[in-house]
Amino acid sequence: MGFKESLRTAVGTLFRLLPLSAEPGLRVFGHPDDRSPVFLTANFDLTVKRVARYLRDLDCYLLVAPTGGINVWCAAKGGNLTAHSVISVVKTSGISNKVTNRTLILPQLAAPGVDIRLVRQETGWRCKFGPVYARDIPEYAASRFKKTDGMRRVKWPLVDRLDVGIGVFFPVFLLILVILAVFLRAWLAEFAVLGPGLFLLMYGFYPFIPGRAGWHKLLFLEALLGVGLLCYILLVADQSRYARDLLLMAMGLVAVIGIDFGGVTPFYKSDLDPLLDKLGLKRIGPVDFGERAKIIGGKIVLNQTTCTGCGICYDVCPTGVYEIEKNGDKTAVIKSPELCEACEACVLQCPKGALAFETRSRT
Amino acid sequence: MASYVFMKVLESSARRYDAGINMLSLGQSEEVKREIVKNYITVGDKVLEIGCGTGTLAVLCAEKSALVTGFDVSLGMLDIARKKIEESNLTDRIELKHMGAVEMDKAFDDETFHKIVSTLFLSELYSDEQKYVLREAYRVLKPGGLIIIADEIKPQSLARRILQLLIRIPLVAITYILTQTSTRPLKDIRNLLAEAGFEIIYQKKSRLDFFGLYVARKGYPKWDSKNPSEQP
Ligand code: SF4
Ligand code: SF4
Repeated sequence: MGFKESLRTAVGTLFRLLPLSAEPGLRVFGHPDDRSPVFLTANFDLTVKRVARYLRDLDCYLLVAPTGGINVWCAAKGGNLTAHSVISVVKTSGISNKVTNRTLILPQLAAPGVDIRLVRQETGWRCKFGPVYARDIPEYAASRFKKTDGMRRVKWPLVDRLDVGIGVFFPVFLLILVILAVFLRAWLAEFAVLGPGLFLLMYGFYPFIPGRAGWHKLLFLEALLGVGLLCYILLVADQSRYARDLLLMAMGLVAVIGIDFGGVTPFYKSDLDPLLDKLGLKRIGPVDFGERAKIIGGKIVLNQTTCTGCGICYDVCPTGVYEIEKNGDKTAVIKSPELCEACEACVLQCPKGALAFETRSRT
Repeated sequence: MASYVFMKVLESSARRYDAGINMLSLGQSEEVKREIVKNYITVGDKVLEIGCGTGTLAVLCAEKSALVTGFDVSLGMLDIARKKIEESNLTDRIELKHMGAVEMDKAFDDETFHKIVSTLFLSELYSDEQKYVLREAYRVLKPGGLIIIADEIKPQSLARRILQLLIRIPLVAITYILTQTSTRPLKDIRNLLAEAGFEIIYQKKSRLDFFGLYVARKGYPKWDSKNPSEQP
């Protein structure tokens, strides 16, 4: 049991890009009664485990929604965590017979995917958005479900960087390793050291690499290496092919590791969507890059006449774009538009339809 | 990327699509559908197909003069089904609905259908969903009506289970790449059926016990026992 679970966790981390699912349905923590809170999460194995760790000391219910084994954030943006997944688990778990309250606490990052009006209409359950991170749930519950601004913001600390980074990098690393092992033995050792080394440096020092967007950072690194390579070729007298190839390899690796340096983070826009769009790849399967690219290139606009200042956009925005004006007419204000990462949570959740993305029309 | 192209190729022709899926089910999909229609569907039956996919079974039922209602969550599948139904001139005998399995409680009235059929569908659901669907199936079936289920099952013997695992790994990978769905063989379908109130009247396993056909009946209400459809 212990070993099997640790193995699942390790595999889940290394192959984060592949779905690893936990059985959807109802989980019970402590000794809940008919008024205990009901939380919801996605059925990605690692997510369920992490949430379970923070619910351990509470008396509550947890609904694990079917999201195809994908985590909350990706599932909500990718169409795997929607009103339908929520409705499905509410109806089939029989939770309505266990509690008398009808409030479901969703992770805030589910906001870009779940149409809570549809959930209400189909099941009678009201949804509210809890903290972004499961680790804030105990404090959230202790303060009678009051959310602080800190609980609303996504963060990108070292552990998370390495955790997510490994998932993105490891499969590629493995693939290249196998290819080299078959075709290019000579470079195997260098690659095995340089790959993880660069990975650790790039993700470890992520916030300190100059450049605001992900691809600025990438460009900076490539330029740095490029200058290094040039200097070497021009200035060093005793040239060796080996050192040059090594630098070239590093440049290639940096590109591979950082290919979606913005998109892997929880708060930069993905640079990959617009890039693929420019290359003429409009869509792969269910993912519409053209559509995404337009939204990412656009900017959020607020219709002040319909806005009632209800504060929902403020509540669901993971980067703190909004401020609610309390003097005079209550209304939302777009205070820091530059922080917006185009997740569309606010657009979907605004009950008045007062928010939209103004897409720049390209000529 | 390659999978996307492959999917498009499959989607471009309904027949090719079905051939692909049939291959993934170890060739069982087609055969068992014919068997179901031959043995269990009679003229004038009102039939519900849960998870009708590309409509192959619905068309076979309608060709035997049954009135079929089929539903599926996938719009892509329903498009293919619609084409197929138009080609065989059966539009007046088949009604398609775009909905998920958990919407059954609002979509159909009690005791509406004579037969309920479902092939390679239950194994795509998680276990609470399976229970829910069978409970709902019981509700919408007329007393004395039959439910016919054909699906992948878990063999009883350990050796066969291991063999199944080995054969399934590549198949599961292909299915996942193609359809982004994964299935897990049903473990205790007999129990699930019994729990929902059904009485199993026939079962057949094939392909090294990897595949099972189950036929179960909804009984008539008795005076001395509570009607199971009133259970929560
Ligand atoms: S959610 Fe909509 S109505 Fe509410 S404050 Fe924001 S913009 Fe205004
Ligand atoms: S303002 Fe931007 S970042 Fe904030 S919720 Fe809306 S789309 Fe997401």
